[in-house]
Amino acid sequence: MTSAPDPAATRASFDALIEAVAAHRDRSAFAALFEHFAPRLKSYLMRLGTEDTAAEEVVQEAMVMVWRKAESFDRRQATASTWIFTIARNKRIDRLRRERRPELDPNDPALVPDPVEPADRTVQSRQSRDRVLEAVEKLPTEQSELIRMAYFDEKSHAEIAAEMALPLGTVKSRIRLALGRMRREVEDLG
Amino acid sequence: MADIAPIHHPDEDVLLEYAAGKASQATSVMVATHLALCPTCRVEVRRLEALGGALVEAERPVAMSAGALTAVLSRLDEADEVIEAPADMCDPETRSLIPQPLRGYLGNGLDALPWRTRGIGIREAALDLGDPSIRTSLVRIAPGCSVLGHTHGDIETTMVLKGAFNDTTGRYARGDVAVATADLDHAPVAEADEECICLIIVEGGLKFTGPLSRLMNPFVRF
Repeated sequence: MTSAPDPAATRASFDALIEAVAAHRDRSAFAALFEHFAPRLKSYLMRLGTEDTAAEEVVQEAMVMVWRKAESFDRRQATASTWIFTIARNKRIDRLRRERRPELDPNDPALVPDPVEPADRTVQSRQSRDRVLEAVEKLPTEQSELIRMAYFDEKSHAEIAAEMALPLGTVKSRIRLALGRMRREVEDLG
Repeated sequence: MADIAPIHHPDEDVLLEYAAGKASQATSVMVATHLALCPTCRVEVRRLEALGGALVEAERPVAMSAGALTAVLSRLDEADEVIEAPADMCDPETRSLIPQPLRGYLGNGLDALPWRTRGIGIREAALDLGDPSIRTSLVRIAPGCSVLGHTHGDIETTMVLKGAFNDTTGRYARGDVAVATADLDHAPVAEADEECICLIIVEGGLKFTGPLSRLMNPFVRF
């Protein structure tokens, strides 16, 4: 097992850690991923109302999936944190809602392919994680709160609206506004 | 079939609920099927997932229990429980017309579904998208025919899979999503040159307002 590396270097190399798992079944790389992501995934699941033990189980299963699916990770498509987030999100749906997460099949003959090479976009999204977070922080409180609720609260937008005593349309337009501002931030990167 | 990109997309907040893993299973099937037909929304969902990843990254860590890493490491060599994807039993026409994940719910294909007549030129087949509280079905509208004028107890979302229809709000073709809320009394009309096949999800009741409404209403409850 490696000694704790510099956090900034670690952040920059999560993609490489997943690739090391894919290429050589590298257990120390996996352990480093676990140390960083497992406590954050647990926090995410507990915010969604999952109690401690169940959250921990879902995190463990999600991390086992990270090990198993590492070959399918593609740094041109997603950052490590985004890829791991989607695995944990799907595992939570499988386990806690006992539902199947419907995903599109990229090899489906009926799929309409991307019209342009998306590489430039994905490079942009790789660089933008910190910018995205900065953008969230720059939003007016009511909008950044709404964005966090949208991801971290089990409630549907209709339920959030009821709780805030706002019309659903108002909640939807605030969400749209917040997402629009964040998109501008991300696109400013060029 | 010409691949013309959809112009009517799901609401951004619906894409967000899908990306955040909060949408109902029925809505998720519709969104994912739309994504198969809509490169624009695929980019948008990737962006929303990246936001989710960034937010999780920014979470204050909550300590895992002491033995968690050891427990996971000991599971890494367990054989992966291989869940065989069920074979695609659909006929070739259904395969080229209906993208996954929706196609996975159609058994042997469109023609083998239990279609029921709902009026002149209208047939409907109930689908089980794993969500008993949400009524989901496929509707086939013969060329030039119209679904009866109806209003909704709640929200009706329609996605076109084949052909096109027009109503008071516009023209909807393959991949397009139309959302009708409680106060909209609409009567979609299929275009004259081709039958129109749609996936419909209704959350809440749906009431027909036309002259045959007394006859129609009992049918639409499954």
